[in-house]
Amino acid sequence: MNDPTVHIPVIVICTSLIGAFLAPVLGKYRPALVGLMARLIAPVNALLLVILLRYVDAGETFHYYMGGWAPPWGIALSVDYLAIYVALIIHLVSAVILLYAKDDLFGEVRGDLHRWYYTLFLLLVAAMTALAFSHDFFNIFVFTEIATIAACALIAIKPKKECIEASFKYLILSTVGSGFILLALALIYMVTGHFNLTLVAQNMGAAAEAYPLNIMVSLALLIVGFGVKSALFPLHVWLPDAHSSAPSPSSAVLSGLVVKIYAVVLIRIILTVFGGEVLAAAPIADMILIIASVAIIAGSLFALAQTDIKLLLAFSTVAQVGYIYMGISLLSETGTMGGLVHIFNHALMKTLLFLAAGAIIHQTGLRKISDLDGIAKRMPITMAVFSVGALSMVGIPGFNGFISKMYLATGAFDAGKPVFILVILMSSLLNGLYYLPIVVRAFLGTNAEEGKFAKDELPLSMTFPLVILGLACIYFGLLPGSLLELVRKAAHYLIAV
Amino acid sequence: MKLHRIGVAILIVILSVTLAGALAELPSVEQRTSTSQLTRRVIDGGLQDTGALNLVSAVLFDYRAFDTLGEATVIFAAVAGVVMLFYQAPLHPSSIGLSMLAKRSLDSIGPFVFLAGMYVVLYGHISPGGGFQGGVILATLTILISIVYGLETERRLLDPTFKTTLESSAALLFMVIAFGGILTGEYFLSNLSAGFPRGEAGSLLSAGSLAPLNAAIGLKVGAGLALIFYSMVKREPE
Repeated sequence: MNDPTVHIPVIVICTSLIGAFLAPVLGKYRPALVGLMARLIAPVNALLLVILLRYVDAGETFHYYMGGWAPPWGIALSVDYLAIYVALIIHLVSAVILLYAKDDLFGEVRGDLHRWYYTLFLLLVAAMTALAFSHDFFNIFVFTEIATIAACALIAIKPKKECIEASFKYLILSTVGSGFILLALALIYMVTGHFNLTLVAQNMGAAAEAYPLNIMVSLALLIVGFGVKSALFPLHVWLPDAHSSAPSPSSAVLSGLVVKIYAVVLIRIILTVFGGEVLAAAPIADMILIIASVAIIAGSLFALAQTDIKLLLAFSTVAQVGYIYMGISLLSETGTMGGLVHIFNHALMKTLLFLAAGAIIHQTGLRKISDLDGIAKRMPITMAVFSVGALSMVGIPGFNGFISKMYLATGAFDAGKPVFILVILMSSLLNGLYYLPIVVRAFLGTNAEEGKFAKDELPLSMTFPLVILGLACIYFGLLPGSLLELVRKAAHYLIAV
Repeated sequence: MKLHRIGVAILIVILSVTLAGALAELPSVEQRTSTSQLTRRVIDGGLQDTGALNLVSAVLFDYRAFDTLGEATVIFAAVAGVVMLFYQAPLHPSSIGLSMLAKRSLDSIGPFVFLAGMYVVLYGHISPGGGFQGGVILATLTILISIVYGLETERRLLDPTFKTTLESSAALLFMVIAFGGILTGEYFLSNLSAGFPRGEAGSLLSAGSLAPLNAAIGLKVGAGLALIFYSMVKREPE
């Protein structure tokens, strides 16, 4: 008999899946219940994950064997700190987004399509969670496919030309990426004989000696494949259109969560499967480091040139994904922690910013940045939390973005590569250049309407998630202790192997 | 534009050469010790482990059943995407189908197509076939009906809501069976070890949870693909 706690990863994945299976039927007869179900699943799962975290804290990390079949025959889930950390982020953030989606969806998606929206959203959450836990190459591929299809559909759900176009672009590029990943898996299976990550890692040394070209090619294919999906510069071309044209809750989940999950999977594979020998044979880490630096600077420069608020946020995501790659490829403890903690911090801030932008569009229909002068008079709460998100992005001390940047900078120093501190500083400057004017003009803009501050005309279901996210940004900026402890353990998992 | 194409061509050549080099380096089948170990174990122990004569099904629905759940969910996601994309398009009203000759022919072969589909699904653990393949055969039946009898008839026979319900219930059936493993104190998707009856190898009721899982996937895939076809053709012609 097993302790029921060990089943939590499966239960968390499957409750989201069951919710997705139920939604289209339930929504046909009781539309109100579907949203309620979706809004219940995410927080309950987050709670279960906290219980799992306690359990792992008391004992140790373990592998869960599907059907009781130990590798190499069966599929294993790796219940480690990294997986729990990522899964927790997924469920906490999607709980907030789903709360927000309740009223926002009516402005953007046809009423009778809401049930399909929740289906796809829950499928995406389930697939991302499975990706966080999965310890099997083919399993990773299968859930990558689910996440890709669900993400594309979440963009195309808005009956607008640009959404369909953006989604199609995303679908094509993403599918090319999937093809690369599948090819890489085939090569890896041929030379190592396994799908299980641990077993592949054990056979990697011998395989790299006997078939060096195969290992290098598969590594390259994996980097490109997951690079496309996680919008690693210059493979980001699909991201701005896709993330800016989607309904705001979709933008939030795509920018806040989806791209990072692929980054985590890629990093986990590179560091724990390919490991030190292969990384020593080719300057993979340095190459990613340089690409990430270019991503950070280029993404910020592109964002600077945007006039549409959601496009600006989307380009900023390209830069922020660069931070995550950069932190981890520094290969120092603090650097890895910086990259991992930024996954959480950026999930909070970018979700907040996209939802705030969505709230502005919901209430006023304005998307152009130049139209937002004095908007704070009409929407003080929204703009206040938007400012919190913007200040976090810039990395002002006291907000959570500062913590990430501090660890990244320390990590660069520890790794003996202080030149990357310069990249971080420069990017902070650029972030300030494109985020702060929006905030300043919203509060002090000239064409502010006459009269006093009005109250936001938003329903509570939209302001509440915004305020929660804003408070979380400040809380984790001031008291990041418990978060950093979890991140430290997750980083150790990555570096220790 | 031209320069861009030359660049793409050069990239493709580089990629092909590298891939060809990697393929040339690969071990031959006899040299692959670790994969042959894996294969040996499934061939020698598959029947003992799962009770299924069809070892492909044994891998798909027992050893690696979680992947199968994922693959079926890929189809589910695709169905959801297609249904949603074509939601706005109205039903083509005047579909009367083909001639009487075609209709009578379908009348006589239709039941056999259904039978073949069900056979492939239900005997998936014994002979080649399984839920995915059988489900596709079942879906072709609905396509045949829509072409021969017209879409309106197909819609009256199998309402899209009914298909959605069928697809979802089949997926939930899979989940119920899978959770059976946890309830008996084993693992998610455990089969014989969770007490599902082994039965006599080669009989219809054997191999524990394999047969019901196959049936669930068959229904889910069949209903899902039928729904995809329906959603895509119901568009009004330009």
